[in-house]
Amino acid sequence: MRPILFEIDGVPIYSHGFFLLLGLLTAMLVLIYEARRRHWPKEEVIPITLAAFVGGMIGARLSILFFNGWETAPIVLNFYALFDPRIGPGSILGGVAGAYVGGYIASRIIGKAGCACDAFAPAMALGIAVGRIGDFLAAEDGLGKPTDLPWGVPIPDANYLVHPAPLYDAAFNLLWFAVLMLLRDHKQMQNGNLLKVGLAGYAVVRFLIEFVRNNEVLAFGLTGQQFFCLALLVGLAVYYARKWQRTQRLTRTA
Amino acid sequence: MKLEAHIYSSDSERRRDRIIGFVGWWVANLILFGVVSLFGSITSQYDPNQSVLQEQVITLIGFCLALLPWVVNIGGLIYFALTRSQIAVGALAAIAVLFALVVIAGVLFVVVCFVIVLTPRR
Repeated sequence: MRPILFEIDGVPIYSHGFFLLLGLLTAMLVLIYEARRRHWPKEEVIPITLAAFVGGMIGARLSILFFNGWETAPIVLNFYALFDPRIGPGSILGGVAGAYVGGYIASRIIGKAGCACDAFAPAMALGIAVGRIGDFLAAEDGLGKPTDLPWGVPIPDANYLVHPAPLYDAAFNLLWFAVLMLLRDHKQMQNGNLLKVGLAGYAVVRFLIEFVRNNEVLAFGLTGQQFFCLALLVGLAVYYARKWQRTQRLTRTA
Repeated sequence: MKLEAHIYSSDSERRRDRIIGFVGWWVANLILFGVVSLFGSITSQYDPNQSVLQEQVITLIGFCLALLPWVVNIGGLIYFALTRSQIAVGALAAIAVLFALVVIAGVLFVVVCFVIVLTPRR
């Protein structure tokens, strides 16, 4: 593990913070590239991106209340603790949800026709892939559960190997980024569908990865993150079922 | 109360509102932060064994004051987004700039993302 990535004049640069910053910058670059390619006007890009970023940071923090319990409330509900760099933003799942809500509200308010959020799908996947490297190097959450598998990794203060869970996440997101880039111009993947598929894919894999992570179990042997993923998948299933029903009705009446 | 969206007539008017939103967010939050911190420092000197009623009142006020920045910030953003959208954009930019600074500063600190389990359980 390498919690301190390097030093500049004796000042330590921490892996977690460094890769979080790098992940956000990477996501922003992909987003700018995609927005330009889609001829998305800057009058729409700027407010939607700002709202998604702010919503993401707030969502990441607020979701901790659900994932880690009410005892985190004094920090989570303190608005100004959001801006304390020692605490760290929070959960990526909450961040994704907050970014979605923020971006959605902003796009409704500015009256954007259709959903412009598809540009966010590959950006988020690549951003998460980069950010997870920092989690691995910082050995966050003790990385994962003990394992005898050949790719198990040692962690400080333990004489056994553990699952490198952040690397599973990073590897999937890297692959998912490539898949989303290939799908981005498909006509079925427009108007928010690419983002929904992107979120669904991540939710499925994250649900599975949670079994080898050290997050707190809430009920039925499942963690808060797994309940979140299930809720997201059910929500998406309901959305597509209703959409399919609407299409069927329209086809019958036509 | 019906909220009506202001129609901007020029780029300079838009720019002026964005500046108002950006600067206004800092001013409003510095005042709010001051009020919340002042209350926090007053209540930290309070002896909890004095009176149960007093303690409950202080807890209630503390809870309301803790929620006040959320209400002002989120409520303000939504209100201005529906009325003078460029003020909301300016305020959003102010929050985003502060978040960006926080993320940049994060490279210099051990960022602990609310870790509960630090070592795996066998």
